[in-house]
Order: sequence, then structure tokens, then C-alpha cells
Amino acid sequence: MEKLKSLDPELKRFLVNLGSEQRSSLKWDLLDYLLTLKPKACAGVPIESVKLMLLYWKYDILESDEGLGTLIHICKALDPGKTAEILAKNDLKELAERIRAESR
Amino acid sequence: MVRFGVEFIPQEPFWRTVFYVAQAEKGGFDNTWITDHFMNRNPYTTMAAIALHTEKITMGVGVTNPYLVNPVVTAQNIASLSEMAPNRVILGIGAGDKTTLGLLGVETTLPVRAVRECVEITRTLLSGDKVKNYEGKIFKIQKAKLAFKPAGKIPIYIGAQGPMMLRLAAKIGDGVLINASHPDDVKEAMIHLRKGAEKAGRDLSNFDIVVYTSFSTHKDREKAKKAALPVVAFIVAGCPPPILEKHGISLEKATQLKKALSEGKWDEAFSSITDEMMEAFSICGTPEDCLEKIEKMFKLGVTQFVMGSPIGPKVHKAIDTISREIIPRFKK
Repeated sequence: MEKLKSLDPELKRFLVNLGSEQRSSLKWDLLDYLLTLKPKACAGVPIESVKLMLLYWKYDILESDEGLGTLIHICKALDPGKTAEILAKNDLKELAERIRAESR
Repeated sequence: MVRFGVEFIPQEPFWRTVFYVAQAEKGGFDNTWITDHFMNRNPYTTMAAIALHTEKITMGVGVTNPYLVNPVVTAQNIASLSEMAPNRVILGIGAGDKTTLGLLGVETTLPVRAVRECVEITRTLLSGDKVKNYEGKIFKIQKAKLAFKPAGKIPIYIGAQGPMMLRLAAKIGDGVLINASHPDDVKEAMIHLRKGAEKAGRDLSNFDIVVYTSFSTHKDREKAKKAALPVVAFIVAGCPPPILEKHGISLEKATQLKKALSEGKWDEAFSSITDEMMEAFSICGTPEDCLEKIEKMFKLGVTQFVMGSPIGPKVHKAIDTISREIIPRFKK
């Protein structure tokens, strides 16, 4: 069974200094990807993380470190390349590179 | 006060529908309606997930039918849901889609009678009473009672198109769900609703008149239209000839469109959609274009305006646009 872990400290290191505008932009870019994927492509979605994402969304804390970390985790599980692209666009180039390297 | 609703067909993974409904709640929508077709996800399961992730929005099955699901099971489903969201659950009942039910060999005999009996049975059960020795034309129930109490009141709305069903809705429903995107169709429906209410000696002031539209908005009018094209194409293809004629739509063009769709020739089908078809069966355009059309609906007596499929080229962006640029104009 997929197990939920607390946010990876390495990931948190990249997110902790983001400003509110950057958080909002990153959140919507990741969501835009997730919400427009063809339903068939959603088959591999980590469902426990998705449930957590819905809770963060309900309580308006999807832009927190944990919320963004969860979104990144979901997107990475579906398409690491696309996730890296979104992160790079949002000035998280080092994190993007790390994800690309992990997926090679 | 007018209300806004948003309709979802649970074709996508459940979490997307839940996400959109929670977004709609934050954006000022009052209701969500989840359709019930056997090939899609179950509406009650979908609404259970919605109930857990929302706090205010009212949710309704829109609509279930008495042929495929026995009214006793429908009462059980909606009462169970009410525990998760007290006083924000609605039961929508209609005659069902003849074509879809036909695939299962289910005959939709005496639709008005079937809906009436379904309302009688579910209402009795939801009030905590027993249905005993019920001898309807469609349903015969010896004895049935729910072993638990629904949480709060569960209004029953009727999905209606034809004159008889509209009159029935006004007589016995707490509200009506009308599939219409054109003011002329709403105007006609209002005549039958008033007749039904008059006959029942009922005042419609506390009756929710819900109009379900095929809706699409985007700041770029052409993009909004493009998103609505496939939905309108299927509506036209399934539309009875008298309704097409009423809207000045050529039967020949509609037949050609139906043929193209059945052969999977999407480009041919979508390019044959005319402005008359778009006007008759959708509300689409920029938020400003839509505002004018929505206002017309409210002026006709509609109390709840429902934005149905496709909502916009991207659903989450359309919900955001509607929340910022449309709803606040009506709810100052």
C-alpha cells in the first residue's frame, strides 16, 4: 500500500523560500497539468497523495510547503519530465534538474 | 435571491470532480448536480467524496430514474448521503434517457406515472414513514421502511421536458430541472409549470425552477464556442424533429450531422454545426455574452441557473472566470 510520508526535507529546502506569488503560480501550473491530463493517463496517480491534495485544497493550504510538495509528488509520479518543465518555468531549476536526473 | 449550480457528468476520475466542486463552492456556486448514467461513475459515490471535501454547497443527483433503480434503493442512497452532508442533499428524479435505458432492454413505460410513484415512495421513506401495501401501476411494495433517519430535509426535484411531466413537477415536486439553453424553451416550460401549480392550488414562490444549460465561457469567444461544439452536435443529433423545427434548424442538416457522428467523422460533424444550433442548444461566449443570456433566464422566472457541460475549454479556468466575472454580478 502506498504510504504517506512527511515532506522530504530536501524538497522542503527548495520550497521554503518561495514567495506567495510564486507559490500561486506553481500551484496553478501543476494543477493545470493534472486537471487537463487525459483520464486514461491518470491511471498511475498515487491515490493517497491525491486524497491529501483534496484536503489541502479544501482547507486552502495547497500553497503551503506540504501542499506544493504533495502536488509535485503526484505530478512526478505521472510524468517526471513534464513536472521538471513546470518547476523550471517557476524558477526551481535545481529541483527540476534533480527530478530529471532521478528519472534517468 | 438567484442561485447558481454546476453540473458534472462523472466521466473523469472522482478526484477531479471533487476538486471542481470544491472550487465552485469557494467561488460562490450554491449547488452541484451529478448526473446518473450506468456507464459513468456512480453519482452517490461521487457525491460522498464531494460531501467530505465541501462544507456549504448543496449536491443533487440530477437525475436518477425509477426504471433502473428501485425507489426504495434510491431512498436508501440519498438518505445515506444526507448523513455526510445534512440539509445539503437533493434528490432529482426523471424518466431517464430512453436510448440509454433501451441498451439494457429497460422499457420506459408510463414515464409520468413512474416518476409520480417514485416520488411518492421515496418521499414517504425519507420522512421516516413506512410504505405499506403500495399498489401502483409500476411499483408494488408490500412493506418498506428505512432503519435509519435521513439527516435533515431532502427536497425532491423532478427532471421534466414535456408538458405532462412539467405539470407533475409543479404539482408534487420541491423543484424542477429543465434541460434548456434557449429562453423560448424556458418560456414554454413556465406555461406548463404554472398550469400544474394552478391545478394543484399551489403557489410557486417556494418552488425552485432550475434550468440546466450547455454552457461554455472563455474570454475568447471562438474558444468558448469550439468547446461547446461537440456537446451541441450530440444534442442536435438526439433532438426530436419538432424541437429542431421550432428553432428553425433544418432536419436535413440534423440528419447529416447524426450520420457523420455515427460514422465517427468528427470534423465533418462539428463543422456542420450552424449558429442557429449553437444559439438553440447552448449558452456560450465571453463572460459578457453569457451575462446577458443568464439575465434573460432569471427574468423568465428561473431561480437556479446551472452551468452544464462543457462549462469552458478548461473546466477549472471556466469555474474561476464564472466565480469572478459572472456570479458576483447577480449576487451583490
